[in-house]
Amino acid sequence: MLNLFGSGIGRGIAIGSAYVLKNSDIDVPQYSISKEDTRIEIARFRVAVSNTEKQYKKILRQLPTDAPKESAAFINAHMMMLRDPLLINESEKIIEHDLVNAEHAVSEQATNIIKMFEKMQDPYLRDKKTDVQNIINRLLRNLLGIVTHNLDEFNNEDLSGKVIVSKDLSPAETMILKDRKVNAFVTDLGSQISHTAIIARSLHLPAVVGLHGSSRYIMDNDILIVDGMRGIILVNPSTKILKEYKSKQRRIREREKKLSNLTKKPSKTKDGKTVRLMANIESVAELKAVKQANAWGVGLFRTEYLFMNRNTAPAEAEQFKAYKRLVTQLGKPVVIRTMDIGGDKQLDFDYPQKNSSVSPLGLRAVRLCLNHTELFKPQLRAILRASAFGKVSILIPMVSNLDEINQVLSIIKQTKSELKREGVKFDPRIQVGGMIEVPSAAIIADLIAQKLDFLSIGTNDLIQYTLAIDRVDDAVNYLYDPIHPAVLNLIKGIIKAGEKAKIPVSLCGEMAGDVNYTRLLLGLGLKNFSMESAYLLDVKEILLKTNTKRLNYQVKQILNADNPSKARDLLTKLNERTSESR
Amino acid sequence: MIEKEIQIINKLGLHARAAAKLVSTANRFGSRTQLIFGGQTADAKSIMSVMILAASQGSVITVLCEGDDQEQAMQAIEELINGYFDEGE
Repeated sequence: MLNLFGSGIGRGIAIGSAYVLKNSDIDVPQYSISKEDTRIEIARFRVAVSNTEKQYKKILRQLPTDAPKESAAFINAHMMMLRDPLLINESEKIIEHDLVNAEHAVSEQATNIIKMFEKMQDPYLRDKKTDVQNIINRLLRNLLGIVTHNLDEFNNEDLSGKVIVSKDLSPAETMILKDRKVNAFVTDLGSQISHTAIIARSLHLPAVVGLHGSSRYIMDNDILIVDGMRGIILVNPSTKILKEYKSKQRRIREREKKLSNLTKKPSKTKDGKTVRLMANIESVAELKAVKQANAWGVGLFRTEYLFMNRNTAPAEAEQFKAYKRLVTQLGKPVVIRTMDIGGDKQLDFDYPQKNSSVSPLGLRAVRLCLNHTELFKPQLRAILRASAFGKVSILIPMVSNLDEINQVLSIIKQTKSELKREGVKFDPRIQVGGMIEVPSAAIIADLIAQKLDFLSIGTNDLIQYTLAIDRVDDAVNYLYDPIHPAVLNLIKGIIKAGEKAKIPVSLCGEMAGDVNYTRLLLGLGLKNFSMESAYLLDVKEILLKTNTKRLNYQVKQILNADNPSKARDLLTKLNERTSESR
Repeated sequence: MIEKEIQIINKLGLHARAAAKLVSTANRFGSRTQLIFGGQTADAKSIMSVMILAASQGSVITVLCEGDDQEQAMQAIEELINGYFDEGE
């Protein structure tokens, strides 16, 4: 048995067999062959080509009948590129002339071809180099005999009960995992605060990320225990340990059952203050969990997922349908956040100035929307139209100055009058709020509060920007500290600004769903929490036991702690008091 | 060997799917077929070479066919290009 360590995500333990995904990096060996061996080497190369072709044919056969027409054309084009004389004949020539192994020859020729594509003017054709890369990687895996899988839209394998093992999972790949009944996933990259981690939580999957290369010790079909709470993976465990973990799993389920008794209880602190517990979601599929947890409403609907895994932006009609479905199926208030595209949330299709948005400081979220209203307007129209069917609010991500807010408000006003002229129904009093996640916005929260109907604190980005740490870079992960006095003071300031302007303030970052911070946030005056619905009852359990009147002193101490470990100790003390006052 | 200049008239030009159709057509014949455009020569049986030509709408390409069935090959390719690659525009 082998133990691997990383960062754990999710509340549970999963047991399943490994399903190893292709790694984007393949170590290509290079060695010389003798002149007599060239025929053998070329024969080996041709076998790999024909095996690769067989795999494509298999994918083609297994395409579901309702797959889009382009899917088959796409695979056929890949097969044609695989059989391309520019790849095959030239690679064989390299084997013969340079007397090198097939893998090296193929990757040499691939580099040549990719260079030609990179020189092209047309961005669409230039992008085809990714297809070339995919085909080459598949061919190389066949040459090297590496058994791995692809997780793309052509993957129709039965993944139920599997543990996905990968170097990294893109948000797009994670979306494909939805509804595939996988048990868990583990990755080399990522940290507890990366976007992939957030999606794992929303999928209710235990995961271990940040394995730093040790995923290579896991072979396809190995039996894995994934302990999302401790961040440990046990590879091929003994029967005894397997038994232990199965009973642990049972205990976790019992705890879930106990928590479910809290669903109907009113969400009030011991001293009678009502606290709204809302859910963060990314698709209608999660509404079941939202209802089960009896959330007050949806505090954050992330719309970017409507834009993922597709070749074009969804039109107004399609977005309207999705928002309307959400609003009518839930029958409770819904806050819809306009698209927060950029950073680690990249799309397949091209949108203007896409390169800038790769940076967390680039042209993303509201900045992108304001510079490209052709993307923004259809979304606003769709949200406004959905507001005729239930209580809907609009949330604008990443505002950093008042000018942006003024611009957004005037576009909304303009959109409303257009709809009015067209005779389309919408809620004329729809509320508009801003995500406070950039330090500049947090500092002028009192000015922003005068312009908007509500504020929502996005702690994930607020912490990233305030402490200047890239949250996808796990080399600086250790600096990520939600209770850094700078962060806490900003949060406190935002809550106070809301109180002064008499508008609601909610918090929708990961902190809202982490029970370690529930009392601290209550002590800072927070009354609206929005989190993954999986954590809602844990947070509720704490708040039911908390007397907010008795928090002030200790919260003040944490805000004034002169070093992080002291702040941690004080936080632990604050949380312990919860149990005393039971 | 026969030679002909043909204008690309479909909206998207010789992009991936059109290139794939052109290669399938060229592959139906034994003749060697080459496309010349912008100072580059592409083997019409190599999809990647055809894409690298990057012939957009309005480009005039030179098609060369050589072999026993060169007439039929040329005719098929001409029909494909003039038929907008069955893309309708």
